[in-house]
Amino acid sequence: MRFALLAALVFLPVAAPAQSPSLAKTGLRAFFSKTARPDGSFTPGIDPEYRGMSDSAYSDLAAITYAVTLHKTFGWKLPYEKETVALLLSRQNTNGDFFNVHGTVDPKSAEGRVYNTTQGIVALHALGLKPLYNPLPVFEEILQADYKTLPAFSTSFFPLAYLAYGEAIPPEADRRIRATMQQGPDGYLNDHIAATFHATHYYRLIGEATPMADKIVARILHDQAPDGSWWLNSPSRDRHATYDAVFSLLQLGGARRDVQHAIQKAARWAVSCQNRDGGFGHFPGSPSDADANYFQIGLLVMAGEVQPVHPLPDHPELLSWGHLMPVLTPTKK
Amino acid sequence: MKFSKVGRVTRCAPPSVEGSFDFSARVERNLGFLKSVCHWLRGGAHGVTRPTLASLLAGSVFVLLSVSTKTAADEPIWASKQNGWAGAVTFSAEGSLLASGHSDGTIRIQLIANTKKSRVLKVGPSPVGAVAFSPLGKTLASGTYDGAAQILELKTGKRLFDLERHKGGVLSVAFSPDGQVLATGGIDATIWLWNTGTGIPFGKLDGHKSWVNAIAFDAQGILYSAGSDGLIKIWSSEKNRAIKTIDATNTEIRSLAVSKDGRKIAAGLRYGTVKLWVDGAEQISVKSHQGDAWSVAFSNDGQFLVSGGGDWKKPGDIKIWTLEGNKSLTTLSDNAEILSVAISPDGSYIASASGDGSVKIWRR
Repeated sequence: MRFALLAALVFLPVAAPAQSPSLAKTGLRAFFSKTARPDGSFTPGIDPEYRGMSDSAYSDLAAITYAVTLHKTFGWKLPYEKETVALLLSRQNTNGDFFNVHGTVDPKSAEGRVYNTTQGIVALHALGLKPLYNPLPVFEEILQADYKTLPAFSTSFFPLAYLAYGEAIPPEADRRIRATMQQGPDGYLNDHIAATFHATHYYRLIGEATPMADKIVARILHDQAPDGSWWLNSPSRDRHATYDAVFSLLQLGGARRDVQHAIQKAARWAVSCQNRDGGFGHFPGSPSDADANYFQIGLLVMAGEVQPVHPLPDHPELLSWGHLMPVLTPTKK
Repeated sequence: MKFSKVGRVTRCAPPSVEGSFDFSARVERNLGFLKSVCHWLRGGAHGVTRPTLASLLAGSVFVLLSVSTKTAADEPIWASKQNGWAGAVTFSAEGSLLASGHSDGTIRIQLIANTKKSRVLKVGPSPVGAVAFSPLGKTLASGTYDGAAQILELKTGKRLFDLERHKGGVLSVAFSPDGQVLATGGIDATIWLWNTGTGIPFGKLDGHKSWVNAIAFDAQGILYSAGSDGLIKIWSSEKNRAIKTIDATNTEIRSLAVSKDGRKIAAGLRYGTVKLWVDGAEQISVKSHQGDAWSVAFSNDGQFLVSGGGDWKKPGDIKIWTLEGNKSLTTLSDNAEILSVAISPDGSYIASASGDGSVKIWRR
């Protein structure tokens, strides 16, 4: 059909204005109520045909782990907790691997094995459980050689997985991963906030100071976009960038006034990513997504705009990507 | 002129232009000049491509043959570099101009006949992720990450209309072949249709479940779109709904191209696969780039397909696909990932935009 000018003009209402932080948790629960399935899994979005984005498209374990993480963050009961536990346990092979059934990653690839196994351990840890089979041989095997082929943002998966399983990362494993974390003159890794965040997260998990912290903070502050985000590249490159930047700022310079100002600005941007259906998108206007929910809500928790359960769960630093880890008194407005 | 959302004139936007010469006049003067332009461009290229590696990847009709050649022809014949990244590139309909969209919120317009002549249009602080010339030759459209599209007058650089209906970034723009309609695709999973003469929207297309990364018209004015939901949609103008949906992939579609006759559709996917459909049937699906296949483009005659791709902070490449017969495929290597490609109207040249801010012209 030819698109000629149509006489009839269509004036549809503009999308909903930005929500407020106080509505974030309400919306999040509404999202979960629509995406929880009786088998214990969670769909990536409310629309059953929505296929997910970033982690939620990558592996169907992501939506489950992030749902568990956020429920434990706020002290909520999972809609089908018993089934979620059973499902997670069923997603482990006897060799320790966790695996995805849906998603774009090959569950037999090195990155798929690292991703799924970390997510499986973290989710079970949040639920107070351990995997049926020791998962650490998966990491030991990958640390023989394949770790060199992993994406630059894979570093902190290793200490997180070890710690969530109840062990410190072995010295040799630590040495090998550290060798991959080459910082540039500005402190960044891979010239991107994602790899830089994971290095910062890595050092936090192992209890060491991040090298070149001041330089990292300086670049992050310099790079912040006028809207408060760190959306600087193609959107698919920066889906988690604002969360990554806020975590790194908090971790490396949280007491600074300019850092707190930047984080509050980022929080306002994160709020603008909430949609009418209650969920969050990766960017303003982007469809609600299980992965985006975690990163936007996590950002708001770090900014002190959304309060987690009190007292915090045991080992809050092991809930996904550290949104409960930085200790900071929220800035009062 | 800037129009409000109900179509009233609210303000006149001052032109934000660097440079002073009259591009529109140059366009007209250069309409018959393209041959000499091309001759000049050829003068800058050397070497002959030699096929060394064949890989037959086709169905019954379409054959792809790869060529692994490193000659001077693999070097660009013109290049320009800015800070940040360049995410979009396009030739004007008659081929005398090249426009590129940049992360600093600018559009850079290059006169092909005189590469010392260029012009910078400042669209805004937000990155320009999409650009398109009107086939009528008077205007240029852009899409920015702050949720707006723009129509600019080529002659003056003046912003004629701010098109503000998307919630979130505008990722793709395309003019209908008669120049009367501009389609814009956004991160909000919608497509808006705009009257290019008034800047007023007259249609909204819902149906994608995720970002609309690419849109294109064929010569008959049929609109095609592709998104991060892995779907390609073909739209009916009468009911503003999709008349056909191709479930292309379980991952995201980064780029889309449609041949003039509408018979061929190409898509570039996340993780680097390029797919080709002919008359609705999938003919080719081949891993073509490390990283993502950010861009695909057909030549006007539909005989060639160009794809560009790469990964973050790694060298990228451009591949030239011959679609009819047992011909060649050439790979052009670049220092940075290729985010956008375009083919000149006569099919002789390829333009690229890269993650390191480079815009280049290559001999095909």
